[in-house]
Amino acid sequence: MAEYFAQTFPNVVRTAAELQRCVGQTLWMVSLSGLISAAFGVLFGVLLTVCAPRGIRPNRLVFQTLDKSINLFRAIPFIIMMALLLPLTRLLVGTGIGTKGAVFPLIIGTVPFFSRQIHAALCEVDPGVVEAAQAMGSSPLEIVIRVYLKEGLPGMIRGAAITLVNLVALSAMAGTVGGGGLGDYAIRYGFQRSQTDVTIVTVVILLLLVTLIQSLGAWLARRLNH
Amino acid sequence: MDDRPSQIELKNVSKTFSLGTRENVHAVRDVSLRISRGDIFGIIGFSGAGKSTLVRLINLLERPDTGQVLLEGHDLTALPEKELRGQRRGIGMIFQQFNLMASRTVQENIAYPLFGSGLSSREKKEKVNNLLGLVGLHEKAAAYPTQLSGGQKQRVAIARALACSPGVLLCDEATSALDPQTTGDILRLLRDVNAKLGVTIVLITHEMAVVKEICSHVAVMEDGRVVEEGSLYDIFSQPREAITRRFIDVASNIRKTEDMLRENPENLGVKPGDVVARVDFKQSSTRQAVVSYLSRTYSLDVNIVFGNVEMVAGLPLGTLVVSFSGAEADVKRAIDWLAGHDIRVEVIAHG
Repeated sequence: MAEYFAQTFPNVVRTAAELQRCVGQTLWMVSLSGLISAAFGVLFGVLLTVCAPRGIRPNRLVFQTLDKSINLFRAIPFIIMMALLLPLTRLLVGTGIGTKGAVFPLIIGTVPFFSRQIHAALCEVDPGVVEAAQAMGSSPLEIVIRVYLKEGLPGMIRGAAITLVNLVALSAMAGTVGGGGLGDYAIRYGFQRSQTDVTIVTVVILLLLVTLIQSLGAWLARRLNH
Repeated sequence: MDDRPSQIELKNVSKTFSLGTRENVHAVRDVSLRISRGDIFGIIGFSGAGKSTLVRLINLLERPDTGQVLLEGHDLTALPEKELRGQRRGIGMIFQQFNLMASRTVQENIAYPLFGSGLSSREKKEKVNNLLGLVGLHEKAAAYPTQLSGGQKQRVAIARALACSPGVLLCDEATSALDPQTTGDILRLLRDVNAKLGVTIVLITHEMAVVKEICSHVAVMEDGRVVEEGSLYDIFSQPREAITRRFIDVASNIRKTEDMLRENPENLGVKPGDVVARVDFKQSSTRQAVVSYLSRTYSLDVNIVFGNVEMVAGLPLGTLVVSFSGAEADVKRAIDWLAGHDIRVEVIAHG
């Protein structure tokens, strides 16, 4: 088995230590930017829901500003956004390259998408239930925490899984411009040195990661859905 | 009107919704109502009459554009948001679609409004238990709403609405999504709640059968206005407005009879020359032998085409459709006799 592996994927076996490091980098980038994006995504998704014209606290200014900025940021291709953000990234984290330099653009690239996912999940919460909570004397904050975030949780988790998968793809893209991680590994060995076995193994690892995230999300959402 | 203190008073409330730029919907127009403590007050109207908006004006889920909403004499429209939320705990509400929280069990749903009530968790548990007993759902305490039938969901909603011991319970088409059998069960439960806990109930519906079953007072809404209002028996025995009569007639079979009279009267035994009249009796006159009296006194053949006697607010109320055969003058005298005895007569067809 080990022999077969060494024969089929010689370059992978030779760069095993590098591969391991890159997997670690990808996991670190995805987890860190994922966690920070989740915090902002939930915040913006809630604001979009609450401040919408028919929300529990309509606020035109907040809603329009958020709505339009999200569209703007989603319209910019990620690769261009990374370049545009470079000066700001350097200012914030001290460097524009490496894994450290990739996290900030990844967050900026993920938050708008995540906010939309959360907004969509919260829109699925039955307006009648929100009205019932209002009739029972719940405050807007109470409705957000005890109704929207609780009733919308299965949908939010499904949205988070989609966002995370998206983030894995973005992190691979960040790798191409010196961001480290699996994308970087695939570019340096698989693409630039034409080591096809490296490309294949990278894709398989990413596929496993995506599958894991997706099934974990689906399982959790199903468990929470009564 | 009666002189009991009114628990809810609406003073000239109006509410207009704007759809788009120019189109306005006047959902509620200048409505004034007084609802007394302990009443079961029905508001009936066809869909679009504004009754859903009206009921939401009571707990200010919709703010009136003009007018005042008084709860036990306090003007709710003048309260700041926070105090209004406190007042809302004193007004329970149930809905056509139940509006239970799918992510919470039955007991968690019932406990929802108790958050921040200052009760200890033991007291909350006891309260939830009592409410489960009141609505007869002890064995479903740990179930989720999706595992319940419509009637059970509405029972949970009623328990939840009563958790903060409100003085008022608003019911927004609470039985419209239920089958007739379950509707009856829920109405009986509401009547129990009214009798045992003294909760004033405001119920909106488009079904006169619901009103007839439990209401003590009725208001009829049409096009945003309350066009007629009174005690259940008065509304049923002396409806003034055409729309009120339509609602009452829907609850009996009289409409079908009237349609048949128009289409083929001979099927109902009406002969050419006959005069067909609708006769509405009230409590004082239902026990008299009216038909045989008319027949003997005015030498007429009085043929009963349709008959219905029902109990409204515990009192009998009867409707007959009869055809009179005989001399024209005699028929007229018979009709005059009826009208002179507090019996409402209306000639509805000529054979």
